[in-house]
Amino acid sequence: MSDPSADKVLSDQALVSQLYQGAQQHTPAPSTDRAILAMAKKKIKLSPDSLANQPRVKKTSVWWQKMQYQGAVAASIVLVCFVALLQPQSPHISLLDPLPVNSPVATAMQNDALVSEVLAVRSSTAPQQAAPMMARREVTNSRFQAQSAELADVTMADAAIVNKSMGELSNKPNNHPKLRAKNHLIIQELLMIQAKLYLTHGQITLTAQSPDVKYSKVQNSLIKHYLALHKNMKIHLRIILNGTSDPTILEGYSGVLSRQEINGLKKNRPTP
Amino acid sequence: MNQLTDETLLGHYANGDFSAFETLYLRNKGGVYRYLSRQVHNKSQVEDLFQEVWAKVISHGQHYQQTASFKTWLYTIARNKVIDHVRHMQVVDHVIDSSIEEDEQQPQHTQSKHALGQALGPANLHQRLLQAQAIDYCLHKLPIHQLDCFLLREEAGFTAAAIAEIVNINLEAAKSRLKAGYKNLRSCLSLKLELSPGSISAVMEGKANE
Repeated sequence: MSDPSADKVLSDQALVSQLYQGAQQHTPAPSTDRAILAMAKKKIKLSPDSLANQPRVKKTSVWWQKMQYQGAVAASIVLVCFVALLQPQSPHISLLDPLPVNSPVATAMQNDALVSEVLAVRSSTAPQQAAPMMARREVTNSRFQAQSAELADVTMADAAIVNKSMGELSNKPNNHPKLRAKNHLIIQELLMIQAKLYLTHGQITLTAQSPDVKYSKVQNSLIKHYLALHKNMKIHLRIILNGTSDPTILEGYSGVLSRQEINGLKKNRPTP
Repeated sequence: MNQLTDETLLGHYANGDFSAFETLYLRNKGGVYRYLSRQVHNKSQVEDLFQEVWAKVISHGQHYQQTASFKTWLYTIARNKVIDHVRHMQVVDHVIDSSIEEDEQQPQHTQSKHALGQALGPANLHQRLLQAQAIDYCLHKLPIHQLDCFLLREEAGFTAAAIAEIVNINLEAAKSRLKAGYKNLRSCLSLKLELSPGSISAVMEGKANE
């Protein structure tokens, strides 16, 4: 015997189910179907099956891989520092830098340097300029002779150099300051010789022209030396006067040039 | 392809077989759609929810794990979508313009009536339409919990145990809801269709003849 209530429930369920399934059923719109299928297709394209199946490989990064970026930066810094240390220091432009070679100021400074250098050479060989005149008389003849010979050698060497480059210098007005500096030294030397001989420029010139006057060897060598220097000085002076029209150039030569010589130089001077 | 289970088809789809998804979709789309449309009466909202359900299946299909059957998973998604929708509608206090909906759906009904009339004949068509209207009316009157369980049973063919799992209730409660749902529907349909034991058998016979 079956339970009538259970049978009733089952029959109710069967009836309702039949009615429900038999009723008009709703279905999604075709556009919805297409949209969903397109979505599924797109998902496949975006994530290939190989990716879905492949086991994920865990990336293992060792310490040097983690430090790659920092290492590269540090290496770059070290390299830059190394190159900077090896590189010769570039000229640093400041007020203390040497001026261009052709500028007048630079030329003057070069002349000053040259003068001081030559004076240093002279000071090592020449007698003390500050020594009293009376003390110099007591110097023995041999010593005086030796010193004079040295002086003669040095000044003759200078004169030879000057003569050798005279042709070049005459065509280069920029070199005149050098000649002036050399003449300045020569004037000092000439005045020193005058003091040693107790003679003026005119007396020395006359003595040289009169063979009757007898002097010692030392005095004769000094006069020879004086005349040689004087000759060089005049050559320099001609070159200087040839390249400039400055009238004050001859002012410093009053002690070593006679009036006639000055006038002669002025006459030979070209018109500017 | 048609002999394969839903889970196998989903696996094939995860491996890049689009036809597997097509089969899976055609197999399950009607049940899910009706499950949604019986609870949400706005057609456009039903379409949206339906797409959301399948979008979730597509996006999470590759990570699907066979701890539960595909259908259980699918209807769980659909149910959650309905719950979210109902909550959202309660918050928004949305007013559905039913007249517009009816106007939109009217031509479809007319077309389907015409197609069915040609297939079934005038007498059967009239009977079917009456039944459909009665079913719609009674389902609309059914409490939401009973309706939920009823639809899961009828559309997906779930057992009481599966329904209990999806709805997250115990088995007895699921059985009780099912029993009550069927009983209420039976009562409602009896009133609407004036069903008697004789008419029931007539309905059964009509179904058998089809």
